[in-house]
Amino acid sequence: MDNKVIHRNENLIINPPPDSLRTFDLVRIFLRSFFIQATFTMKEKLSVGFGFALLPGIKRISRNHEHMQQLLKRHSEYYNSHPFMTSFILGSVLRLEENATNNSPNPYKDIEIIKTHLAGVLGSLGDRLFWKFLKPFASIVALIMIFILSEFYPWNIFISIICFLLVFNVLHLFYRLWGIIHGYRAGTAVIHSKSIQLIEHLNFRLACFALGFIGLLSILELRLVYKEDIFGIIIFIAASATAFLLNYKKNSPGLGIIVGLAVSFVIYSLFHLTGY
Amino acid sequence: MEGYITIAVLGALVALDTTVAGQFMVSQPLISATLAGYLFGDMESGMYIGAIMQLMWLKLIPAGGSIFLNGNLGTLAAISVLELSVNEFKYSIESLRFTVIVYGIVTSYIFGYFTMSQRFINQFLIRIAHNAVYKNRIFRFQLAHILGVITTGIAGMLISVIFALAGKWLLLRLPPVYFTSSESFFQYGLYAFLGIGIGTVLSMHWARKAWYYPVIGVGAGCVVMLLS
Repeated sequence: MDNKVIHRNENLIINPPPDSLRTFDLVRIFLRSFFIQATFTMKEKLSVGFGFALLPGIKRISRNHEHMQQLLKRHSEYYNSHPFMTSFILGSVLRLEENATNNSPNPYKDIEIIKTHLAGVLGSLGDRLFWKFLKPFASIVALIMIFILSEFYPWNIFISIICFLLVFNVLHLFYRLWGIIHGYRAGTAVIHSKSIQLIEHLNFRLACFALGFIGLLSILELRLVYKEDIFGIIIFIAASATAFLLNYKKNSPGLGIIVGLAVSFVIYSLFHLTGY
Repeated sequence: MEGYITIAVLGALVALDTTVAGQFMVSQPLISATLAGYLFGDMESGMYIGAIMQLMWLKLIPAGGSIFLNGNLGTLAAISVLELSVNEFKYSIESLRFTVIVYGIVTSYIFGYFTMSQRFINQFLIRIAHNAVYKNRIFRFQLAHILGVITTGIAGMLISVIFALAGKWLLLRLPPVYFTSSESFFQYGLYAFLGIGIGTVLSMHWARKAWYYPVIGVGAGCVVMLLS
């Protein structure tokens, strides 16, 4: 214990005590986190991006140039997660590094756990929430707005675009900003964050609503198709069934498009040849 | 010339927003195509092509290590070709829309290689960044990362303009028999694209136990139809 105190005092004498992070630093990290994927590669993933986003915090908490170099070196190594959910890791790592600078016991193990295990979990959660559920949901809502408000053309298009951007970005920006704030406040306890635990529940709700809205959208599109004749409806349903089956069974959007279009052409040709 | 500048700016915006900067979803087909249509004075075509491409490419996930098709840039190529050639085109607007959508699908596959080439360039930038850290050159480290943004923006600009020009050149040289022999199919082809979009989105969320959600949606759609 005494040794530790002496060691701390020595540090204080040799290097001035590091500053603690300021709100402005967190804002800078938040803004830099938007560019975290700029140097994404298959091998290193978000490595340099993570270091780039963390740099204002590293500059603030490091004791000297060597310490800053050491921190930056460690945080520019392999790292992979979802870009939006990385905010939690950024905040949490900053807190742990700050504690480490103030000589807390064994912080590097915690940092390693956060950067490998939690990042993996958050990556998977983020991919599901943002790409699998939220983006389709926002798109379907926007398309429904176009159809329902068609009397107000061109305003229906503007409203639908604003709607799309709002639905997606409210949650996107919330997780980016709250991730940094909460991660920095909670440190390792970020794992128990309610905003993370809420994601699976949110996914389920979004999927249910999306399914309902797909039903609504398909009826609105059928009405558009029916304007011509019943033949349009047959082609619409045939193409949609083909694409559904191929995507559901084979998970191949490209194949769904090609075969769906081919089926439509065959049906069209058959009707055309029979003199419809 | 103004048209090409617009395409270049939109190309940079779409390429950056897809993964590199922000991901605010401005690059999504529905938004980028509508915006392009608005800037060219034909918002309806932009919205139409954007809506179809949005549904068809919803399953693409720009996640982690996946090499995904670039449906966003593909859509921009499609709408650019339409807007650049609409004044010189002699056939129906349906045939033009159908053809540019097919072109957009093909270019989406080609632009998948754009993502790969970007990651190839990034390997060099990462090497520069790592060397900068070892030499304690913080500015060079940051510059290497920012270069990743700049190169993506420039590449997006260039390939958008190149593929818009190439598409226009190809479209205006298609044999007239292509348009005249299947004139009536193009309208139905567009309906087929809409159907493919709905089928694709439904397959993303479909679960046997949740069959009643789409049914409720269909019921709500019928009510909306009756009321209007």
